[in-house]
Amino acid sequence: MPAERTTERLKRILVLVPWVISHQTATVDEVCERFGITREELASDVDVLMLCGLPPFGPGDLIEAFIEEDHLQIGMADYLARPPRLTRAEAIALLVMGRAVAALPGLEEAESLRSALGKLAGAVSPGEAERASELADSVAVELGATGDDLLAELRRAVDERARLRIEYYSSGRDEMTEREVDPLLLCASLGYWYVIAIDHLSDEERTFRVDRIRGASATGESFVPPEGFDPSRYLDGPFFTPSPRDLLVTLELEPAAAWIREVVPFENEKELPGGRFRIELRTPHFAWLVRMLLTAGEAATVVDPPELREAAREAAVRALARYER
Amino acid sequence: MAGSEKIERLLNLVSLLLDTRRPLSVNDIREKIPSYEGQSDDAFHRMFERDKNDVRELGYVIEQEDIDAWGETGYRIRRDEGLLDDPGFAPDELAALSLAAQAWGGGADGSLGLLKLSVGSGVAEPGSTGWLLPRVSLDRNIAVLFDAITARKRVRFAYRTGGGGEPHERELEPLGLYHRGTWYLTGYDRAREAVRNFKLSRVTGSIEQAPGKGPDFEPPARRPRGVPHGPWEGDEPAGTARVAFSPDTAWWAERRTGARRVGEDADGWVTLEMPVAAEMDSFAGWVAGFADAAVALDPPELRDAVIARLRALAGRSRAG
Repeated sequence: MPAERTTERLKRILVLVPWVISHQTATVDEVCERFGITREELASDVDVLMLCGLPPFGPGDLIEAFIEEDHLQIGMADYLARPPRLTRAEAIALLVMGRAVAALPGLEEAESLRSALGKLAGAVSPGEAERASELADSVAVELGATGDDLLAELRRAVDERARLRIEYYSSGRDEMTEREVDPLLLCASLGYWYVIAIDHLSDEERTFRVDRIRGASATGESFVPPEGFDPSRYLDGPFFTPSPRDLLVTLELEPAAAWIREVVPFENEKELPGGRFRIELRTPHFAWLVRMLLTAGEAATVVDPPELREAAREAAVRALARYER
Repeated sequence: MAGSEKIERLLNLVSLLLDTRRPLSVNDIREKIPSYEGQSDDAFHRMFERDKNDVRELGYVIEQEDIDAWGETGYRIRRDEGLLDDPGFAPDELAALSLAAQAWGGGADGSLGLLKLSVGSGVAEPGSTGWLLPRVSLDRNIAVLFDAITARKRVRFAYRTGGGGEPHERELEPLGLYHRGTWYLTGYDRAREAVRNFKLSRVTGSIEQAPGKGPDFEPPARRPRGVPHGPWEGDEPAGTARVAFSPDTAWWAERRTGARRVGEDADGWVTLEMPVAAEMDSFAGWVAGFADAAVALDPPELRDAVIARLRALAGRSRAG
């Protein structure tokens, strides 16, 4: 067992003990959920705790820990009733992400968040507080293009299950469309925000990039999310979600187009001589791919399918025509 | 379960150091913790050093003080300094923090930090479930960079420009880290006498910190500008580009680039003006990516670069 997991487990136990002591009404399931562990893991934590305490480790010196009627009971551990102060890593995590979230436009919680961040310094180990805040000043997270105040509006619509009429710019086809959507979820990935919605134009679950929504207004109707909609599918962003409309594409990339490997998820990578790569990717976004190929120019070659190669050629011809007028 | 023995030992050590009123000598500690019994002197001392470090890493401050006239060191954890007072977070503050806590590095540090803060307060309810923050994954080199930035130490690493080709050695004064979909390291590159941004995903192997304890550099008076969002925000702009966008694209390009609108024709095409670097390749790629929805007007080198790119793709080899 790697040493790191032991330390992580110990860190958890030293927070779990005081948390349980101060939240005695919490059920075993609640404790497990808070700490992201299984009942078995909690039980083995209890087994360790029972063996620990103060010298000389007689019956009256050991920590009392047992599960009774679905509650974890911990006693004889007054010295562990308060958690250690925040480590630098914990302070950085909260400070940096907190600032990133507080910077989102129109966030209702912004004020609470800012006042919470102001209190964090007092919770860090003495001697670490200054360094942690200095480091946090040098680390920034930008969650993604938000389309001005739209993000807040969309979030409200998701929460209230309000149907929206949106004006959407689909970059692949370079056209504005108007459609009604039932917004199910907002998620951010690779520097952009997306809204996952039932699109009434296609009657399918679709992904819309928030910065490409020109405007949104509530239709006044509300909707019921489809049965079986599972937000956790989108935890890693919309790209990793397989779709029945997916196209399997094989590309060969010169070093100058190797950046494509950083902006799309791909599979079956093969390194070729001369720093070249061959990759396969699956995407339903044909038009978007064509535009990416125009950006890459000669440095990317479509091995398969031929219709994508042809579409990129046609798009280049159409674009050239603009220069030849 | 493996690791239980070490957990038991460290828990007992933390408990002992927290509970004691007077500082304890190494020998006191050795006698009181069962797992230290039966170890040779050497093995015990090595183990005790490691354990002290582990306890510090858990967030405790171990106080060391002289406990007798011969300079014998005593150890304890002062509860008032080492432990978290109830920091007085209101439920709405904890709920707001919990929005942020999950996203960092899969949640471990952020969530545990949040749980520490919520001991003694009401239970923080997770906020709206209608959105998912991106997971900011912690690159394998993040920890060493955190240290190097704090201690102002130079770093050295092998880097693949553009993500492809042969990696080259770089040496940098690290100034900051930036995350937008992926991690960027910003630093002063002495060989190139300029501030540069590096994607951590293009670093091959490990980042190494320069040897020695003292700082290697002074941070600049002015914070470096952030990582550009696109070629229109590139470093060292050398001139001004004018690009015309189709009616449907123009509003988005304006929103995205924040560029100045300098004209609109009868068909609704909008001309935007934005800075462009001397090296125009990535700018040309960006314009070409709009296909027939954008036209590079100026400077002529940019226009030519876009045309050359499109011709190559259109299958024309004829030049001029």
